[in-house]
Amino acid sequence: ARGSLSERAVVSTRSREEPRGEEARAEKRRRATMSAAATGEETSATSSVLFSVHKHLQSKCASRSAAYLACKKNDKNPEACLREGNAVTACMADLLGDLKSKCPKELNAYAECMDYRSNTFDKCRREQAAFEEKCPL
Amino acid sequence: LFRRPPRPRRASDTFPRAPPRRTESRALAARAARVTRTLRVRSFRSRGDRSVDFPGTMTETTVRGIKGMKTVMDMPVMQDGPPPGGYPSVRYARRIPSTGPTGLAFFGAYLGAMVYGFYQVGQGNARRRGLKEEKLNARAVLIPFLQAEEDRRYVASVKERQKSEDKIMAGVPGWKSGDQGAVYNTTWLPPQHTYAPKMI
Repeated sequence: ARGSLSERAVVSTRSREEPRGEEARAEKRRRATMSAAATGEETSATSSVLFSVHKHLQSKCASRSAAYLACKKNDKNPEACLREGNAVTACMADLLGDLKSKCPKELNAYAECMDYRSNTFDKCRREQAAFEEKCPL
Repeated sequence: LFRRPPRPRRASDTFPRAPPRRTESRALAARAARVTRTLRVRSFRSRGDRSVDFPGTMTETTVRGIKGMKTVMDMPVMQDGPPPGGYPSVRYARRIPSTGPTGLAFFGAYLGAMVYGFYQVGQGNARRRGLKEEKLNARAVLIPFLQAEEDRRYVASVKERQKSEDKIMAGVPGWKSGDQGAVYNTTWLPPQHTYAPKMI
């Protein structure tokens, strides 16, 4: 994934022009009352969780990631690679669900340690060892 | 690498002894020395200064004189003197032994310490490089997942923007909302938003 600047995917900045108007405000109110799953918004894991499971992601979702990056290299337009992106996200969601069912305590402990240590791998070796023993790569 | 301590020296570096008295006769000098020895005591009286018993009546010669003396120089001296055989010699010579490690040994120790230190530095650098590599690898692995999320959000936001623009410019004839035509034909870039509009 690491390479020259032209090969890397461009992470666009968040758009400041939020849609204003009656419809948008109504939509916002509706979303506030409903749960995240009900509105269809995606809930992603935090950085500490992602850093905790990055080795599993590397081993399980390598092919889909490669496909997505190849699509991005071809055309950097976000609309062009939505399908591959969804596949990548689905892989991640499946993996997280799998890990939560198999070793929730170890994963939670590791993620909490990473959160406390601001994602420093060297400070969480014990939790990492316990997690990788319970849920091997 | 090490030097043994030197052998101990003889007590030859002493103060020079008292210069020999200028007497003509050796026997006289010997007698004077004998008398001098006996007179080496602390108090005046016990030194043989009998003039203490006869104040103001005796000359030095009657007090201190000996048989056969010709001049005052032959008189035994009544003084506090050294013990028989003289005082033991005072060592004033420097005895700085050149023992212990040589200069080469010291340099070798310094060199060894430096070599060890630099080796440890290299080890630490290698370890830190490994940690950095782990961190960068983790970031590289996670980029596709984050970018996919952002893509979806961006596409949705563009659609919202276009819808809003359509609604706003509904009355204007011939208005096409959204970015009309790509400025860049070979590669896609997000539209440049200006957070600090300036007059160019």
